[in-house]
Amino acid sequence: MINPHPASTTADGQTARSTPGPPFITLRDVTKTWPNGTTVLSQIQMDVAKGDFISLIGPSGCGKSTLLRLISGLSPMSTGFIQIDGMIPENAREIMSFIFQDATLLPWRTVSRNVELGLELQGGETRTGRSAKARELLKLVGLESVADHYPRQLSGGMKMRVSIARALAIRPKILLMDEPFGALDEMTRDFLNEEVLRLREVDKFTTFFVTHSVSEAVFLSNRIMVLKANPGQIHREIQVPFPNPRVASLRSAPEFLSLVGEVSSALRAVKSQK
Amino acid sequence: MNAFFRTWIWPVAVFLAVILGWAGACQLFKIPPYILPGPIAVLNAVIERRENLWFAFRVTAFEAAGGYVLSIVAGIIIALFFAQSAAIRRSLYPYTILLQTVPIVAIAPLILMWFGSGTRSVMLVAFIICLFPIIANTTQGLISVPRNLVDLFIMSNASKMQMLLDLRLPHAVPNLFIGLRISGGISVIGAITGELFASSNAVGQGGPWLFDHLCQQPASDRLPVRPGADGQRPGFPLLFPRGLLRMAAAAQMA
Ligand SMILES: Nc1ncnc2c1ncn2[C@@H]1O[C@H](COP(=O)(O)OP(=O)(O)OP(=O)(O)O)[C@@H](O)[C@H]1O
Ligand SMILES: [Mg+2]
Repeated sequence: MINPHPASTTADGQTARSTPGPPFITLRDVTKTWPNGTTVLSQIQMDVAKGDFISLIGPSGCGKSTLLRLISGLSPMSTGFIQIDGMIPENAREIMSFIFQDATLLPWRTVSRNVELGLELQGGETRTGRSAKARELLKLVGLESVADHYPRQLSGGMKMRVSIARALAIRPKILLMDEPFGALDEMTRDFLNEEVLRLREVDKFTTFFVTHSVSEAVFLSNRIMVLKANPGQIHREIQVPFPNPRVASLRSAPEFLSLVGEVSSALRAVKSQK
Repeated sequence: MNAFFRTWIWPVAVFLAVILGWAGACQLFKIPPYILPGPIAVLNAVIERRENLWFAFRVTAFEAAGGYVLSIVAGIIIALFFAQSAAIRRSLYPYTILLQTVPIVAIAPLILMWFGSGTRSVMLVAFIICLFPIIANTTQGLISVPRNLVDLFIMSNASKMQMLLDLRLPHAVPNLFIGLRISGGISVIGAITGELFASSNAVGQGGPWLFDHLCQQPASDRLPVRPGADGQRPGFPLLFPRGLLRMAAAAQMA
């Protein structure tokens, strides 16, 4: 198996972006047709640099979740190709983590043992090593105090933070998030948005983020892909120029609001198309 | 203390009410004791025959528990096998439903004929009646893991074994417990049904004879439930509708 962590590519996103060479992730003519003949995604092209934070936004059913499943190799594409750090998706799973809309915690494991799951399945780490790492990550998301609780004892927002800690435990280079905060109230969502940005400063992961919230997309991303439906295609890409690190007050800045307006109108255009 | 009291007061009250109602009805309607003896008479009979009853209880409990434990082991193994693929389930599941739909009274005589009328055969009857709920519920639990959880394990490059031990099995535990609860209850029915035929010693002797025999013979010591102080009266024609016995008799002839 190819070593997914060659020393030359461990530099952080910012420096990698400026270096010439092949992009970190490439999608070429990615098309997905279901067995019943409907084409859900057609001719998707994308070049992703290390450290990019890409939001996918578009009408329901346009294929956002499907696209994430193709990138993660959970679902095979029909034609086209995807390359991730020089690997096909199925071989790149070790450097990817998937965060689902529901926190998908295992109810029979404690919070800490849930965070350990990825490390445990991958093997190659002692029990004490795993649990030390889990504590460290729980500390990072502010949940050390509930390490020995069971998921049912947590609120929705706490579960999501555990899910994030679990995803980060394997030190992924790529984070795939499918509407991770869709079920949360706005205050919790804002808080977790800031949390994600803070964690990203630490780990510099490259992110694909599916959302229905325009302001969330603008706040988090540096690139927003507005998708259209039937078949799913990238309708428009919108760059978000705000520098990192971003702070909560950005949300009320006029540039922020005007960009939210721009994305919203692109979304409206896409929705009225069909 | 208060909580303990609250938990027990109502069941105890219901018990007393039923006993009192029973005794009252016997008195009031002058029911002859061979139709329905009063609670005191029953209690006397139990005390009088305690050794027999205790022995019978132990035998039946052993048979029921043996069949139950066997069905748990076999049921889980079969469920693990069924969980491997939809093709396996499609080809074999119909036959496990057969286990559930063919009346146990029709199978029991056959089993006793094949394997003799010992404890082992009775255990086998209990085993057969217990098996389906364990298989059905455990399989359901094993295959109903949410897709996202399966995907999570795939993303971690989990092996098929890890998927089974760390995801499917723990996920199936609540379903397994539903199966255990159902089978725990019916294991006793299985054991008693088995005993019914084992005790008659009528296996292989022909249906009509079996029927008459069952209705006339006193219950043997193997039969754990013997209502009434009048020991010469067979207990089971009262407990088991004649139709059931007829069905068994028909199965014998077939
Ligand atoms: N396994 C499947 N087989 C056939 N069609 C499917 C399958 N999975 C999804 N689809 C269809 O593909 C389309 C895209 O689904 P997808 O879940 O990717 O949409 P989405 O953009 O994530 O929508 P939402 O915003 O509602 O989550 C939908 O029309 C859906 O019905
Ligand atoms: Mg979706």
